Amino acid sequence: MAVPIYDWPQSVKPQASLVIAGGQYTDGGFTAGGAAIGQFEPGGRTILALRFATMKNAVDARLASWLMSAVGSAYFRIRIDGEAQTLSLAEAGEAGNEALLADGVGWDDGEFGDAETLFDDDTGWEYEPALFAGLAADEGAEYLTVSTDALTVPFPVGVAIGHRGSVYMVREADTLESGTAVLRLSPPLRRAVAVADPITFKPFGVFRCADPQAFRALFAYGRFVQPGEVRFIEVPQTA
Amino acid sequence: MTDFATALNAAVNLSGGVTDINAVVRRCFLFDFDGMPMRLWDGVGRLITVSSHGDAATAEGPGGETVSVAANEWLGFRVPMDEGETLSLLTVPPLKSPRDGRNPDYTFTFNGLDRATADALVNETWRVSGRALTVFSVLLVDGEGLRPQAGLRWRLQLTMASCTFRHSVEWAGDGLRRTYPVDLLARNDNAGRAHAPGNTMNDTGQRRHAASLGVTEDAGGEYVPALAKRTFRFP
Repeated sequence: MAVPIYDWPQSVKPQASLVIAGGQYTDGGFTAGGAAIGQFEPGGRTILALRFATMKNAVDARLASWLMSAVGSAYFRIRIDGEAQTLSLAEAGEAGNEALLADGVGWDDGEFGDAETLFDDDTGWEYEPALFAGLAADEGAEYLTVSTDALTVPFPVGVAIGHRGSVYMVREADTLESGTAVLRLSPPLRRAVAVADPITFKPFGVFRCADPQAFRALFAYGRFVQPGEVRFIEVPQTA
Repeated sequence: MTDFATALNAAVNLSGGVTDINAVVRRCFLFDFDGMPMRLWDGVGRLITVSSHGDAATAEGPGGETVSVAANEWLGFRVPMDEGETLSLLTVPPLKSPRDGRNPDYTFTFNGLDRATADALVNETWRVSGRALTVFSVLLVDGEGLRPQAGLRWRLQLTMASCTFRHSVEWAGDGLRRTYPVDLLARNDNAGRAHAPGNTMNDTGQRRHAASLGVTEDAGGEYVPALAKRTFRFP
């Protein structure tokens, strides 16, 4: 059963967003900690919480009307764009990013300038600061090595990075003097990483709305509507 | 490939104190349907083990495309619905050791099927009967992600008997919700042990059965006149 994937409308801009790595709670009675221990679920999925501003014109109102129905029945490709949880271009450094400036990063198979790639016809193209993978990594692995030659800061933890249509949270980052950083990601890699694959800092991910009921709001007089705060759950992009 | 028990001992790490839980054990299920094996595990996402079990297969991806599933890939049947809350696409009955000789009905329920899939499965039930369902344990150590390095541990093997189809309609939130669960009945190796072949026993059959097991003389079914037409009283 095919489910449509839509680009999240850019005019429906989240006012606030939060990316967290999927976790679980297990009883921890045998540990020193206490009764409930939050652990990272092996293979848990990225969760994205969004809150929206009031939408207040006719175009937005129709878009919102469409979203109220579609949010429960389709997948959405959403960009993680908040300043707090992403690396900025200044931090990433411009060196080594010229190739990305020219061609952008395709999201479907991750190849540069591949005309067959979805969303690679320059529609909605935005510059994505990126680093490059220093070592190959298998699908399902938690550790990823990236080259940090261009990076102006030690690789921070708590940022969201992307690779080929998936969003990962950096749980641990070990910046080495050799010009690489070893990142520990959650969830584990959805696709194998090849050497020199771009690891992007304004990542795109495909998400499914976990609580479409919460998104729905009633239109007020004058076409005002404020969609509710919703949680999205990653749809793994495996191949 | 590390041995399961060795890896488990290393993960428990008694010398370093028992306060660190850095590994979990989950179950893996190999439904060896005829020509179409299905590997599921009790977790989220695609698990890739070192060892292969069964044959490779195909599955349907989220976009309707066909994706191949290698013989060491297990699909997670837990689907996160919200933070901390998961939907289980497979309901597993409590599994017991067969060593007590009992033969319970194990009903595995596949949830989350759409109507087209459930309808298509009706014609595929011939793949079920008599095929093996094997249960393994997998050790997931912290840091290994979804690529556990230890081998799987065999836990239980059942024989799948049949499957039945249900259809229910319920109100859910903003509309009607239709569900098409499939129940799969599996038995352990104790199935049918209580029944004598043909439900009768006679001297000839008993001797033949004994001979097939290599026993030359078995008088257990022989007619003993001294025991006939006597009344036995239990004290």
